[in-house]
Amino acid sequence: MSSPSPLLAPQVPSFPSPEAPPHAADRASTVRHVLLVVLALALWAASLPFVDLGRLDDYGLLPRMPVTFLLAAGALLAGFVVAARRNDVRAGRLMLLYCVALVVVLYATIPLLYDEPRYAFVYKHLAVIHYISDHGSVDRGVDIYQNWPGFFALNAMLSEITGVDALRYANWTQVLFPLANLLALRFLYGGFTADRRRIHVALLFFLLGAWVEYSYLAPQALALFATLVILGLVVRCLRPDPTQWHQRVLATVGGRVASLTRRGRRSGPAADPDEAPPAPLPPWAAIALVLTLSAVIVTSHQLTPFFLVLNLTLLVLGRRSSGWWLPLAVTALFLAWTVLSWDYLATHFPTLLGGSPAENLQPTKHSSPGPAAAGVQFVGTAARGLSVVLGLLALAGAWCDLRRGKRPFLLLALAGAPATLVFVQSYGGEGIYRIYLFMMPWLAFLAAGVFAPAAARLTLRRASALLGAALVSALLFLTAYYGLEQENHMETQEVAVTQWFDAHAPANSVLMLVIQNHPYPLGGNYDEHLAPYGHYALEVLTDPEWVNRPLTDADVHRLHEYVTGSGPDTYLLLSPAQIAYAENHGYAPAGSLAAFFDRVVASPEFQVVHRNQDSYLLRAR
Amino acid sequence: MSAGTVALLATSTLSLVAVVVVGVAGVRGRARSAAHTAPGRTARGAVLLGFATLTALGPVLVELPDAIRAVPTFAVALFAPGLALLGFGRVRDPLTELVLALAISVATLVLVAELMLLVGAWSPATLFAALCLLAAPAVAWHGANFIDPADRRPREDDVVA
Repeated sequence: MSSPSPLLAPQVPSFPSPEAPPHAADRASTVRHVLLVVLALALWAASLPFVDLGRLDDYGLLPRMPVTFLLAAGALLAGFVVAARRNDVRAGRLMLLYCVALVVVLYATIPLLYDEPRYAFVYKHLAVIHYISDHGSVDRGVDIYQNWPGFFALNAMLSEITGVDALRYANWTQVLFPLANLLALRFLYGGFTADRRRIHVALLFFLLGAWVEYSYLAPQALALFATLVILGLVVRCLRPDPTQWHQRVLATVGGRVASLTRRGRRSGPAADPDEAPPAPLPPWAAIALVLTLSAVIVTSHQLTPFFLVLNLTLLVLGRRSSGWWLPLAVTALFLAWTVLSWDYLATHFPTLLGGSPAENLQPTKHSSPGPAAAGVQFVGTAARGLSVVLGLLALAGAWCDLRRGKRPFLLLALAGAPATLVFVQSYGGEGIYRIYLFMMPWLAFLAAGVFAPAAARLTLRRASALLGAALVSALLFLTAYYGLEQENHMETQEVAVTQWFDAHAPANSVLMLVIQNHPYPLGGNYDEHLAPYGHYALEVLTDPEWVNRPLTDADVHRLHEYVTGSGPDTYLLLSPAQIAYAENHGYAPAGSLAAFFDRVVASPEFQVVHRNQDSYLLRAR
Repeated sequence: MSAGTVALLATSTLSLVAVVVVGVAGVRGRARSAAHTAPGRTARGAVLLGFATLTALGPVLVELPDAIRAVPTFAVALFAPGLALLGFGRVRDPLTELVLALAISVATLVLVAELMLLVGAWSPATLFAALCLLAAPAVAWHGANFIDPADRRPREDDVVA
């Protein structure tokens, strides 16, 4: 029989029968694990009141965390590894419990510490949500978000139903999406292996490897979740029928290729498809759901369909999916939706595709034009280091799979395929991050192969290696994930100034920021304040005349001319988050902007129209 | 009391009656042919029946103060449509059911919201009431299918990865 599941573990250790009553020792062990989780969560909760957000610097939040925070995370990792030494139903549940607790510790910290949504770029998403709530419609001419409104319409609807403004729950999506992705990945991985340890170790590495923020209030977060569910449905419900013509062709080609390699001859027949877990849905229901979720992705996010089509194609070629036409269907959906948005795209994105791979790997224009602060460089190194660690573990896992007689080539192809985006476009300089994001589920699963021996019990040596890898990954993750909080933390005063501008500025007035790291736009009337070329605001420090030099009294006058030259209804907004971003990323010398802001505020050439603590809204006199 | 509130109360009442009728009928039918039930499944059925009741109350929840209605309305919106549809299938693993229910519910909300934007009929409260009215009996039916008065021993496939 043909093999649709080369990684479906044939040598799954025998599980205790679910009918057998648990041993007293097992019960005691479970109680100890649950107590450890409770203790870790208590340690974490106790550490939060001692975090001083007023002392954030260019190394971010981690240095401000009490040691109890690190102890809590460490205890969860240690408990996970102890649970992972066994490989039965109970151990699987415990490992999942540790992963959920880890999500709480890693991702619920920010929503509990911050009063306002994290990240300046979340606010433009909130503005679109508010626009839909206010108008009950979208205007395709306003911006690209209103051409891909799925995610925003969902949130506008949820806001109205629940009575909770998306501004208030935005930070909690950083908990909700990791939890949802945890379940979606568990569903997906369950289609590749029945080995509970491998599934849950992969979940752990996914959590610890996700330094690229994927869970904030953004269409990307929803699209990633939907993609994982789609892939899970395809792998588990659309198993290939070896009698289908395309499966016969693929089997013939695959057999010829495999016969050329020594490994191909040695690995022999893979697992019988009967060993696969039962399909949760019949094929017709799975196809209906796959197409529905694809429509959600296609109408919510511009880039994810590219990765989805790649993954679906590879699953067909790897004989893990009978839906050979699904990549074509998703492509057709995407093209149809793009045609509807063509008027906007043609005028704002004349070069939708293209660019050399080297150009497409260039970072965004907002990356440092001058030397970044030492902390920011350290954080960047930690993020790159974490990517390398996960990549090396994935390669080691693939090698371990090969040694066990399994063929990891499909998984390697799935992990590597997102990199082909560099031949397509740069996605505004963010393509490199999206590539890593869509590689991560497969890298994590491959990496877990290092710790998935055939033996039922993980040896002490291998368990120690797992703990070491998890601790190193966790330290790098915490450094990277919390590293830019000085600029990502938006203060209430800053949000309040934006809300004042939204409420009081006349229509067609434009906001000028020193650098675009401020919670703006936010209001549902943001379309009335768009800057030229559809930008949300004007910027000063991206102009080469201003960037990264000490700003003097003469520059106050020059700034006045800059503001007045931009139009009669231009407002200048100064706020602490802009200082942090500009100085950390080399747009201004360290320690220079606060003094310059003071001179601008005191200048008779400017009038303060609104102030909230250290945030000022000014007009040129 | 406004006409809108009366309509929401009527919707909720109708939905509750449907939940009770469908739930009782489902449990009685299951008692006659309890071939697919097991311990733990009964608890799962009870949770689903409770959730069906919450879903039936959905239309009146939106009339409550924001602080009270936020969590239950989020839960109903994000899970009820999916659980209702999954009641027509048989997903054994509860966590798989949870993730599929979330995916189905979100997809339903996104596509219906986009449709409302497209046709210029933006009315989330009406949509929510309609979803509750449709979903509550189906979730009740789903839950009733797990209830086994005889509380049988588990089948091997009740425990999956």
